[in-house]
Formats: sequence, C-alpha cells, structure tokens
Amino acid sequence: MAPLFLLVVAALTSAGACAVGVRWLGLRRDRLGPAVLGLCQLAGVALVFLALNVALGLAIVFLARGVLRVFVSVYVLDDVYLPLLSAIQAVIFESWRGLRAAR
Amino acid sequence: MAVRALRLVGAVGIGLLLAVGFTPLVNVVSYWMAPSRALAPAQAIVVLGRGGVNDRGELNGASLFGLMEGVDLYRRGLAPLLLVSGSPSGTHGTEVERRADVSRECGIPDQAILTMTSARTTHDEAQGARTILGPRGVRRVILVTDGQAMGRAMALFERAGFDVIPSYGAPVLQWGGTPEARLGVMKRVVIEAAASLYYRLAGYL
Repeated sequence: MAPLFLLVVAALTSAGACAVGVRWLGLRRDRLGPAVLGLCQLAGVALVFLALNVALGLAIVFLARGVLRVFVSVYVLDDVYLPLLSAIQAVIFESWRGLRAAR
Repeated sequence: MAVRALRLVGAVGIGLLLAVGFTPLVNVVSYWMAPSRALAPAQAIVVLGRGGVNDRGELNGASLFGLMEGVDLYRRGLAPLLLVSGSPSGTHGTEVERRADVSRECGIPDQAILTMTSARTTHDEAQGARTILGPRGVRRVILVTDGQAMGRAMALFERAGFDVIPSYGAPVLQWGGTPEARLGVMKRVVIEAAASLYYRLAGYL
C-alpha cells in the first residue's frame, strides 16, 4: 500500500507540474519527451561516476591492504553519500557540457 | 553514440530503481539467494560480525540483532556453545567484547560463550572458527548472518570443515516492504554478489 501511495503522490505532483508548465510557463508538450531523455542521460552519467568512484575506492582499499599492510574494510564504500556525490558530479559535469554547447 | 549509450544506461538504471522499489523483484532475488536447510540441533552457534560498535562502544542495530538471534537459538537449546565474532576495532571496547557482555547479561553462562577476536573478513571468521571449535570436536554449527550473505558464509564454513545450518532454517518469501527497505535489500544483494565474485577470484570459494 505504501509504495502505491508514493507513486500516486508523485503522479499527482507531476500532473500538476505539467499543467503549470504548459499553462503559465509556456512550456511545449512536445518537449517533454526530450526532457525525459535528458534525465536518462543525466542518470547514465551519474551511474558512470558511481562506477568510477566504486572502482577507485576498491583499488585504494586493496592497495592499502596489499602494499601498506593496513586493513581497510570495503564497507567504507557502503555509504548513501557515494551515490549522492556521484549524482552531484553528474549534474555539474552535464551543466559544464551544456554551457560549452550553448557558447 | 556515447550520448545514446549514456541514455540507455540511465534508462536501465531508472527502470531498475523503480522495479526494485515498487515491485517484489528484490524479495524474489533475496529469497533465491538464501540457502535452505532445516533448522536442527548443532554443537555450536556462530554469530558472524555485522557492523561493529558506535563511538560510545555500543553495539549497532545490525550487530545487536544478529547477536539476539544467536542468543535466542541458544536459549531454545539448539546448541551448547555460542561463538561470537565481530570487528576488532573500537575505542571504547570492540564488537566482540560488547557481544560477549550482552550474551552474559542475557543469562548465557560464561563457559558457553566463545569469542573470536581478530577476524576482519568472513574468510577470517571461517578460519578462526576452525581454530577455536576444531579442538573441541565441533563439526555441526548454526550460522547467524544476513540472508544475503549466508550463501557465501556457508560455503566458506563448509570449506573449513563444518556442517552448516543457516540460522533461519528454510527462507520465507516475503512480498512486503517499503521502497526504502527494498532498496536496502538490493544494496546488500549487490554487495554480496561483488563479494562472492571477489572470493572466487581470490580462491576462497
């Protein structure tokens, strides 16, 4: 029931945002598809950053264990902030790319 | 081309995120991963390390939950020994020390509590259990750990010479859960898949 409730709430605010966008902000309905593609692209970049962060983190952990003989748990990477940081990296990177394209 | 690939990766990621949170996909995967064996009396209960202690030296929720499962199995008379493991680090006491303290506070006699103080990984724990329990003639153990981690832990303990029973016996397929809880389960499934791959590459499995 709780998952369905969340989906209904998100669907209602999405419908509201669509109405506001079309009626008051002058947004075009036919640009919604490309906006969703933009989200997919942003999510893709975020996943690439996440994969890079995990790979580099693991390499450092195993380097510390193998070379420095210091035990570092791989669970240091098990933190909700790693995907959040990856998302921030993706937003900044995509904004940067967008600025270059607009110039 | 790169943009299309990124969009595809992103779409798959978003699709998976929604499928994990809003369908029973992860419940089924988790159930499928958990080994099944009838819960039966054994010679020892082994509670694997899980999470450690906080800055005040208190067991965290996951560690306490695992220990309570072990204590409950002991109280039900399923084994005469309780071997507790845990992270050896901590400024105000370690996970193992606190787990032993809590076990005593729960009424388990001193002589029934065994501690594994230096294990840092599941592989270490399997080897440590062999060192501690082997000389006592213990062969059949009940293992307490996460359902997702049980498959790898059982394989390691079996390689160390034990006959292993998972603490939950036969897993139960649960359909419920909030999206956040399901996401947490999915994270453990992914971590466990990566750990199993590493253990195979390292030759532990």
